[in-house]
Amino acid sequence: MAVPGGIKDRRAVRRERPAASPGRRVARALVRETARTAALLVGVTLAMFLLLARAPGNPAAMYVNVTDLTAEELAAVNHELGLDRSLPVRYVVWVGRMVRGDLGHSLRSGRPVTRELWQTGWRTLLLTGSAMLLTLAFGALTAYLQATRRHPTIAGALGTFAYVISALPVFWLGYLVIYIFTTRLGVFPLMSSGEAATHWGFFLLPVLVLGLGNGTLSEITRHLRAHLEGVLQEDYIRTARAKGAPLLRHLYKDGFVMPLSSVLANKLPYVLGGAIVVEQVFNWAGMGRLVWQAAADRDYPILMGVTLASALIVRAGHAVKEAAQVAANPQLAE
Amino acid sequence: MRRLVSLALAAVVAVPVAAHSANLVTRTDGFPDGGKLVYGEYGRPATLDPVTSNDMVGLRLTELMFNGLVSFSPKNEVVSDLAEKWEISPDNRTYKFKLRAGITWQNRMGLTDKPATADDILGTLDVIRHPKTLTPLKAQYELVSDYRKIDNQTLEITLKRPIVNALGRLSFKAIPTFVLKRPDFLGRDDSFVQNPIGTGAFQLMQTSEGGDVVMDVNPGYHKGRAHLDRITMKPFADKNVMTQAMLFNALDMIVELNPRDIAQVEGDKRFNLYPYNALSYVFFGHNARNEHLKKKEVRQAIAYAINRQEMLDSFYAGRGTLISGPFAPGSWAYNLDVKPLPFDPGKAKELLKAAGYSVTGGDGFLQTESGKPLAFTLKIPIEKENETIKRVVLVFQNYLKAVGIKVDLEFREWQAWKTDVFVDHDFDIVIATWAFDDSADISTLFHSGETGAWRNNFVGYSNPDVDGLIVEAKTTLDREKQRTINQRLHQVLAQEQPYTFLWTLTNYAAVQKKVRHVELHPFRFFTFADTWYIAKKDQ
Repeated sequence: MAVPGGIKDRRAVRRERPAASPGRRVARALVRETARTAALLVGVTLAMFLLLARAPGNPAAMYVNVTDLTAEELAAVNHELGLDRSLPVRYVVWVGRMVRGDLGHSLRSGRPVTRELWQTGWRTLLLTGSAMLLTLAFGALTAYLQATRRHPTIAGALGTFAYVISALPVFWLGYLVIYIFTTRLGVFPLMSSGEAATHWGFFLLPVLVLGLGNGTLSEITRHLRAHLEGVLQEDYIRTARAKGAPLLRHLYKDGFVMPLSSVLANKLPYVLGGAIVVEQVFNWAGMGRLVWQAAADRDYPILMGVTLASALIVRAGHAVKEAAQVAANPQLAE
Repeated sequence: MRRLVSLALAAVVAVPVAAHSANLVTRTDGFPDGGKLVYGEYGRPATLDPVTSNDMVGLRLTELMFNGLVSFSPKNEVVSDLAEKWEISPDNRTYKFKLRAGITWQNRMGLTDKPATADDILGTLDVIRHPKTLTPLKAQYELVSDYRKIDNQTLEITLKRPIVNALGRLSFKAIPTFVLKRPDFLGRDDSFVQNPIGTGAFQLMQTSEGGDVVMDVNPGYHKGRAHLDRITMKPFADKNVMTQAMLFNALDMIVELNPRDIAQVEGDKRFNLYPYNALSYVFFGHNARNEHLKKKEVRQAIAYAINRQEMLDSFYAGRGTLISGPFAPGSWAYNLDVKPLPFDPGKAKELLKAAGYSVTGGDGFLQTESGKPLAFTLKIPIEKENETIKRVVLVFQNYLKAVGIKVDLEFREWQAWKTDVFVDHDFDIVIATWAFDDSADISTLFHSGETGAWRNNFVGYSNPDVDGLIVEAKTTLDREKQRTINQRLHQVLAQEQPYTFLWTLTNYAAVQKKVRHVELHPFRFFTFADTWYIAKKDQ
């Protein structure tokens, strides 16, 4: 039972020293995050770059039938694609362009990588963002019911559901949900022929599947419950209860904002990974499908772009966490 | 919103054209115009123009939007297309084409009734042959030595040497090179590759962010307006979902139905199934550099040890044909007198014994008297969703176990597999697929001069007789003589078993019954789509 230590102390300190200009503290925290992010990006992109360079395969196969060519012709193709330059040169050129906002062109489609990322990225963000919210909402509700022991039957049912669904592989869950809700019950459209991707019913199923089935639900629920139980035993909560004050108003900062924001930051990468699978199953034209195709093709610029974007999204999750926690407890900015 | 705008614009452009073009060709088949067709493909095309396109999805799309000098009939005979007629010089090297009158580029991106001329056709050849254009077509047009324009409607192409079926090879699709970013070559940074203009029956309207490719009928098509108003291609990332989409009426057609869904769709009254030959065959390739596999008896024993008909029946519901050699069954080169080696494990054991594998080791597998075990690694490429191949290799492993050969399975990611097989030659046995070629040219597959890195004879097969036959087949111009040589080659290779030839599969297109007069070209698919129609009541 992990009871977060020091909560009482921090709150005591805060009461003694009134929090001055929390906005500035948030800003300072954001700047610190940005610096960390820059360092992380260099590391991640360099690792990805080296990994791609060591992986077998050649993007030239996308353009020509390699076995039809002589060695000289193949060399000419590689030259056209800029693959004949040395690795450090290629990385430095890539970084130089990236800093100016140019991620190059997809080797596959010839379109600018930034455009491909925008076009698919917002869909992935929509999917992962909504799914993450659903995960957190479900986790928070279940944990709250369990910790307060108010509706033991509902709490038990939700808890069991969380365990079972977390144990199911997400792709399988996807097929199952399509089979039940679309094929059997006909509740949701599989896809409408025109504007499939904007139909709300089409949107709802993947979010449900990714939000509930990304495998982190039971873990998050347990974590939140442990945290809440700890907070509920705090003196100030007992006092609030004794006074008959609304429990949630006193509970939300330490009981919800703190743990939920760290869960968000920690689990975002898992949800992003799950999105790749869910996008395949639901024909969701997002970044997951882009990266899957790019990996099969060895489309280096796209892979580098997606690496960069994913790292940024994960860091953004961290920044949101930091900002939320500092806003809830400005003491943390110190 | 943007979609609506582009449609409105198209309407504005199309109306005056219809009024002004006096020489519009009308169809006389009496079928009604109108209706839309939405079809599903597995995967998205990389590019949409006919020069850089290098995947089946894209190649099928280009068949709707472009034309070549010549095209093909349902029987795969060469027929006129952009070229109305042609003359061949007595030495079979020079082809003089006369273009059809009144062919225009599609009225898009500022073009209005712009005629397609000899300059455009030759410009396309220039682009294909330019070193900066990366295209799979380049190797094919190395046989061209010279070409020139005679007048706007006439052009002449000269080959380096006479070859069989040269006309069929000159079926490259023409593009309006004058709209390219650089008129002499085509790179993927050119917006033309995603937004091309052709002469075809359908013209590109838009590609949605989800990857849907929307094409509307080209009213000025030189063979007459196609019947359908619009064809839309929807890409899918999952074959199961694609079939589901069709069963929900979100699709009118699937180009290549997932084999395991065939039975279900076949039983559904809403659909017709159209079989077409996959034009490829599956085989086990044996690395001749391996000390055991270089023995003919071992390769033959492997063929005798496996029951191919049973594999075909149980994994593909028998939808295919067993083959005994490296040609398409039914093609002119295939030797029907050569039968596939039968399933005969007893014979396999005899052959292995004769080859010196007489001792059974402690693990139950055969070995030589000096204790070298008869064990191989089978490398399997992990291709998109190919579940059936997994079952095939597992059964293969069991069949060989029954005659005393040990096989370990190793699955490799596709590109890694290719590097292992084609560059490092690091494998004992592979399972792979070759696509057939119109020309039945197998010279690169089994000639001993083709065994280097990235060459097609990756099994390292070497046989002076086969080399001789291959060279002879390549240099003769007499189709009959070529047939005789190829049939002889077929016979030799069936005996030699450099590959264990398995089968060629039948593909099925599933089409809603409302779409009528559906005729398919085996690999170009949409060649005759301009004659498909939907009855008025079904539109």
